[in-house]
Amino acid sequence: MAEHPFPDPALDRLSAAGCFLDIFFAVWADFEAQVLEGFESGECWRQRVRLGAFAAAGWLRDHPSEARFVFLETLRAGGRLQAERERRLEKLVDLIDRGRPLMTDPRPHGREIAVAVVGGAIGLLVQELQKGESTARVESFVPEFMYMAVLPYLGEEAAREELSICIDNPRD
Amino acid sequence: MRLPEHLKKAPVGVERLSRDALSRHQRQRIIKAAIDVFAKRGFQNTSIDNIVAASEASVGGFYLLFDGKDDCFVHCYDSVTADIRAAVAEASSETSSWVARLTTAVITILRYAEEHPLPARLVLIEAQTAGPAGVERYSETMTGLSRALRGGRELTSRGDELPPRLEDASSAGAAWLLHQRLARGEAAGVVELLPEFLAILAGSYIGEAKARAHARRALSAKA
Repeated sequence: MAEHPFPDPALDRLSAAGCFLDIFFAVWADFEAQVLEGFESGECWRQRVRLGAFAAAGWLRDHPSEARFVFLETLRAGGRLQAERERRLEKLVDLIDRGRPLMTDPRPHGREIAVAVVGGAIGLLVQELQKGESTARVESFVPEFMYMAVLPYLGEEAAREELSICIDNPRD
Repeated sequence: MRLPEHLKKAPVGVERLSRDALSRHQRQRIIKAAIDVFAKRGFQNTSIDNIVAASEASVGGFYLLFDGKDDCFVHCYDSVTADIRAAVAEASSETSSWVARLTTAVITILRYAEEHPLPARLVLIEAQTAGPAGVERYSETMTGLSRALRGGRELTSRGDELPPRLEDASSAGAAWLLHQRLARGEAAGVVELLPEFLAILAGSYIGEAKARAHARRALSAKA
């Protein structure tokens, strides 16, 4: 008998891997919703990215166990979860990549810069989690993240301004 | 007449290898096979049996040389990174400036990833899934990269004002970009992304346009 190309999701959920995947989907959806809500509340791309980044940092601060699960534990999971994780990260890459049309000369830029910006932020977060640091610290890294996100699209002056943004009043 | 000792008859091609040499040879054989197995199956899905079968060794022979799967992985990781370091050192022996050294190092790493996607995958993807020892090795590599990048701060008068973790983020970003290509099986042509990699790694120090121009010159010179 030929193998069914689409495994029954109900059966899949009964396995540990399926359960792990379900939890990942639910936790990530919550994280993503908060980031998108922050992003959409901004008026221009730069402010949107900043508010999205603060929303992400706020979620990480408030959900330390979930943060450890989605960003650290999933690294040890199988290929399917890795692929799902990557697919979801692409949505965050899209948000950064929306800065491309704002550049004076967007021609030399590809999506790769946005991939590296998101990858750099995730890399730093994973390093923190691996060191056992508290996710509450992440908020203080937002200005640095903003520097790196803004630099390729809006230039050095705009990027430096982000370093002096007040954490308590990120809208300004 | 008696022949001198060194001219006496001896079987040809069956010189006895020392126990150490045999053990080294066997270790290298297992490492070579294990790199491919880890990269193809993933660390979590690789068993000692898989490695033993691929290297045509025995389980007993494996455990004489390695403490277990984690230890074997670490040896694989060290072997690949040693190869990459040697290739970078050889390629950059004649370059002097920081930007030229960085350009040469990045192009060498990208070329390595293009020509040896499985070992590159082991270092960039599997190490992070390989338990504490693998994660520690990966962190050491990233710390080394980050330290090397900090040299770029001397090229700008405002180097002290740059974000303290800039190099950690830019090296992690560049590693992620390569990680993605390898994970998707798109290592071919990755060298052409040199302008993007240099913009990410050196853009903060020399400006993005200059970084890209360096990359384009390097690509046309090496073509």
